[in-house]
Amino acid sequence: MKNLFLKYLIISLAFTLISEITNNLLNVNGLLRYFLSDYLTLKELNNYFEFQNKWHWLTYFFIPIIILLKTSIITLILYIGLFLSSKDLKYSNICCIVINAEFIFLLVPIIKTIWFLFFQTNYSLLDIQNFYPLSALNIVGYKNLESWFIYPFQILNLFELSYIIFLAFQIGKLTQTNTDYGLKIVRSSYIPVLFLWVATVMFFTLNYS
Amino acid sequence: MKKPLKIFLSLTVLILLSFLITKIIFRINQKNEVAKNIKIIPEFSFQDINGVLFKNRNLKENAATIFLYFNTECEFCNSETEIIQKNIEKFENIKLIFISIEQPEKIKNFAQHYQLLKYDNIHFLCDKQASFGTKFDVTALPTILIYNSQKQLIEKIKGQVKIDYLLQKIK
Repeated sequence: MKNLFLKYLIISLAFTLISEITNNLLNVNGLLRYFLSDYLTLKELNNYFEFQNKWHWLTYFFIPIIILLKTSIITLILYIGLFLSSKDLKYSNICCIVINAEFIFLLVPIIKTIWFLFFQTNYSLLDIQNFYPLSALNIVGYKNLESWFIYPFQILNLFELSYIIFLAFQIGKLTQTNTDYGLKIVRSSYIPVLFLWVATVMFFTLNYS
Repeated sequence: MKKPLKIFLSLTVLILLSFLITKIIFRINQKNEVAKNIKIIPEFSFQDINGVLFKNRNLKENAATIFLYFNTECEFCNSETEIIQKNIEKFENIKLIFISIEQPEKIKNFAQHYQLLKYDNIHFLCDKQASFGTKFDVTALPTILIYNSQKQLIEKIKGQVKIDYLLQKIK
């Protein structure tokens, strides 16, 4: 349990730190100011950034909460999947493998930063917002895509695939079976819920965009 | 015990997914249909704050038209209106149509507050049946629709925008 909490703390800190570094290195605030300058007056812009600076500390809580929610829900889904396959495992053990797998996604902001720092040096705020390394969105490009198709194309990426395989591998190890068995569990629990999640995000984007 | 639960959960996910996919397809088709319909100003008819009907034929020939969908209590709508009022001379040859779902009295007070009632090219309309939102697929406040002098849609903007940006689009 102590180990689990430590891992959660490390991953939350790592995500928060990387996100801060990315924002600074890519000058996200400057790009946001430039983007908003088309829409807001100077006074409104200053008020906006003043407000943002005042409440910036809240983002340090936001990332750990999101990670907590995400890992708890995925753990619950896998727990149900395993329970229905007659494998009664401890919730904390499953949670531990979900947090382990979450470390894969740390590579996303790192690669994103490297990409914009060294390869696509001329970029806008929208480029940063819509970029997802090694995803289907990079093949089709976001500019010709309707806003509600962006998320499903982002989700189709190699990190998600690695995440699924790594989860399966760990489940195989935990249940003392093999990765194939783990894949069966992930395929029947995590993947259908992931589809449901993508469809929900699409539905809301469509209705509010 | 586990088998019925398995079937129940699988069915729930399947039903939810089918429901969402159906809704998504329906909404995409609807959005495409609206986008096609509003390329040129569609037929419309709304009452102004004096109860007089305002239709397509009331639009100025060979003049650009801007629809501003607003609410008197929305901060960004107030801000946008204030900016327009401060630059009113730049809109001389443009038909400006403010439209809201609120009561005529409320809209009238809003118009009076910004001293916009004295201009011939500015109209305040009431969308009592909230049909503007459906017709033009408007989901945010304010939403600005810019049409050129040929009544063709140039841009649909969600949220507040600066005057320079607005005028640049019409040029």
